Amino acid sequence: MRLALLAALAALGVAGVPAARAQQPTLRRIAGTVVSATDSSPVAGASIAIIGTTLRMTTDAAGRFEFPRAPVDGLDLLAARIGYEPEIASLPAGADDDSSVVVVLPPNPIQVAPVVVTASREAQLTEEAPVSVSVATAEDLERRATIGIDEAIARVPGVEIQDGQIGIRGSSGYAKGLGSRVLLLVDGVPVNEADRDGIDWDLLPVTEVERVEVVKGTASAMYGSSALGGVVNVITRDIPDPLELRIRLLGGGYADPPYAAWRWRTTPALFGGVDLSLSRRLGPVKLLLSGGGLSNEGYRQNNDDRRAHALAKLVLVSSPQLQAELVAAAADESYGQVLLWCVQGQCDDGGQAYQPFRVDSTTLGDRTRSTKYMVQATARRALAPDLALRGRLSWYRTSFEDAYRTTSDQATSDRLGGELGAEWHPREGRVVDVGTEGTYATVTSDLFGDHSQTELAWYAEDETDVGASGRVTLGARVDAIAVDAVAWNAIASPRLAASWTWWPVRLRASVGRGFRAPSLAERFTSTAAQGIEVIPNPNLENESSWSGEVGAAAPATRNLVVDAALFWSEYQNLIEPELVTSGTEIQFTNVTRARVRGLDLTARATDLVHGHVTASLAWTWLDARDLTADQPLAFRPRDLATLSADWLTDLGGAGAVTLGFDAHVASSPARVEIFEGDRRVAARTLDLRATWRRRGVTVVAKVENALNYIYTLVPRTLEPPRTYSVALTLDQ
Amino acid sequence: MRLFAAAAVPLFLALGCDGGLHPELSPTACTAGICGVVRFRGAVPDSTDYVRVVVYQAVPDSLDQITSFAGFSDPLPLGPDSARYTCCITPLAPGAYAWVLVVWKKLGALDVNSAPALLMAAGSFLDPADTTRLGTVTVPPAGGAGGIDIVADFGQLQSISAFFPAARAP
Repeated sequence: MRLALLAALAALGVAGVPAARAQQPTLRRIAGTVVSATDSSPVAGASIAIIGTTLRMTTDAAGRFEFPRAPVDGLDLLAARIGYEPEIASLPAGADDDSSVVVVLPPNPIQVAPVVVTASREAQLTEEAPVSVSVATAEDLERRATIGIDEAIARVPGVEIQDGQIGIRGSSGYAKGLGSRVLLLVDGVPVNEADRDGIDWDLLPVTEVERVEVVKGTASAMYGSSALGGVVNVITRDIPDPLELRIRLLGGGYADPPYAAWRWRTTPALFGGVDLSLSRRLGPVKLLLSGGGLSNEGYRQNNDDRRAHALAKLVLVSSPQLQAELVAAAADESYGQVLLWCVQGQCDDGGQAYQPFRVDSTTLGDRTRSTKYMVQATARRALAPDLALRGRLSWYRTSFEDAYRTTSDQATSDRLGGELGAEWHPREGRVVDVGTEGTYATVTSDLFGDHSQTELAWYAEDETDVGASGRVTLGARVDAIAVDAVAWNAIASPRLAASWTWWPVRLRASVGRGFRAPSLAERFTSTAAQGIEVIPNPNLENESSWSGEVGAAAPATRNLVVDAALFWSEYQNLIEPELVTSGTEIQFTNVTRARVRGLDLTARATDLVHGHVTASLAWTWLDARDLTADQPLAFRPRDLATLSADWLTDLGGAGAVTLGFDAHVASSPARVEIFEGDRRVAARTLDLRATWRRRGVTVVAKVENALNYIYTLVPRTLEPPRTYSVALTLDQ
Repeated sequence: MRLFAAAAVPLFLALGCDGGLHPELSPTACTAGICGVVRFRGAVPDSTDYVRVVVYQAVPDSLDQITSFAGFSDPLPLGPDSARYTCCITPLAPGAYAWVLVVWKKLGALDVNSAPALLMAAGSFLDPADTTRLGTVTVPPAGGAGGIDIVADFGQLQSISAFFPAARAP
């Protein structure tokens, strides 16, 4: 079996794979506990791995771990957990079992997420990642009591979300969600829509998310198309062994517009929702069931929204050698369509040039129903301490029905995916990762027609230590894509990255090629509205880019860490909607050559004001230019800045209270592609929050956009006014 | 801590120094084409496709000319009692226009043959001096013609072909 696997590895293109070794290594059992240095209490949910091997697991509720088939050589155990300093425990060589290993983790509140998995497909220490990775942890999500995952990452440095469309470091502007240049993963599995290549942020309930990792910059060498601008990986939460019931109740409302001339209803618009989850371990299986719903009257006319969602997660925990899980999710949403706000004459305008809270009266009652279903199964099997196989199968279906006054459209799309890969540790400090991936996407629609897209890919990556403090990653991926099973085209995406320590600074640098295949919607949309016709362009070519980054992270003082990154991307063939010669027809075409460069700067401090205050500052400066037209790229703000601070105090038996705020500024984009004559202002918001926790009960009260500042990110599309909300979470 | 304080101060100053978007009164002058208010009467039929203000240089006298508009407005909002409009998507050339009317379009594909059944006049701009007659609108060489107000009555829809001079002849 092992011989066959190594032969398969060699066939997949791994240089230097040796023939089968003559002897099977001797194994031993290693077990123990991970505890906190503060009070020796067990640390549950800590990641623990034997460095240089494929063996890793998560500690149980008692902080325990066990590796029944560990090598007899001397080995290093790496333990890591959010809120603690990662720790390495060295064990001497020996054939005897050892069941009494204790790994002590010193608390470190500055440690946001010690381990990330998205930057190189395998778990690695955050500071060793060769590219910029930001993480929104479960604590961040709870503190902000967000409704959707997009809200949770909207304050991540370098990220901007415009009407649901994400851009990372200026990779995307705004195109009504079509053709995302960011890939969404759920537990590492791609889930962009098969037809529009967009992202459904409401697919998963935010209460079931452990953390969200955001990889900035092209990641096509690992993830192929759509990862042109970066990757967002939503990691669902670990399931604890004991029976756990979790309920979150959320309610709130929107403030009146700040000007009487814009008032449009006599009572406040409200929203409310409930999420309920139940989980426990049943023998070798951990099971999580979750469901919930939300009803929102909306802060604008025709903006009501009703959602329901369900999630099931099944994890096999029979042995550290085999990790397998099944995740299934469904979401249903019915919402009023708000395309643009009302301008003079389109509604009861009250003599105003525009009414941002109202819509064109002819679109009142326009609605969309959207459903999503996802099933994905993943497995990872450690065949030996130095070799593991992994595989996955996934299916993602999306469908929508527009019921408009003047027209109705529908589309149903399916994305079937599969992957088989291997991870080989030929020696300590080196990991070779190879695999193959296939995706088959179909759409049936009266807007996009009936089409399919097939994508096959092969990838290999070698990550190795260089000297005592350096690490180099070299990899490539080849994708072959066919539309409607014809006209295959192949794209190669190489990547070279390195990280090294120049004490106390951790440096990183990377350069790579990225691409994005046009979505089926961009190729085949055929529709007409208000005298403008959108015509298909089946001959669209791939977008591509060369991207690079140089970054450094260093502790500036005992309690302050600073991270800075210079980044640069050169894009070719960017797809934009263009007016064709008739003047009334629009077609998606490859028109733009562009350059995006900039600077990311973040600083995070803890233990301020006698240990009560945590604060962070993030600033992104962007220079995004369309080189073809010699003008700024549309919808890219030049500056994004967020200042956050939280003050925590322990009330003893009465629990703990946290008070915090986010102050966020996004400069007005230098150029937009629609309604260029409209007045534009910078986005400036102040969000306030207060959290009280006591024995499994958490209450979060928030005031978002506390200044009731009226602004847009997309022309004639109003962002929410002041919003009040209270979330109550019971965790038993 | 001083670093954060130094960063916080300009951020909050930035937050406070701009009030964001604010209401703007509609421009009263008509800067291009023709402008006015349409006041609606009667119930909007279920079979409505859209309602627009349409401009003819001369009252058409045959089916061939029925879609020869000099210009037309965006679809009018039908919820409120009245709607302001500015015509047209392509500004009207300076000159005189004999017929400005509110057209109700029934659902269905529009062409020369189906036009008499699908295009109905809901109301016309009338001569202020003699409201029994259609009013002629003159667009000046610079700017537009304002105050072109029309009453559109969905209870008294008339086929556009009924306005052909031959049809109106005694």
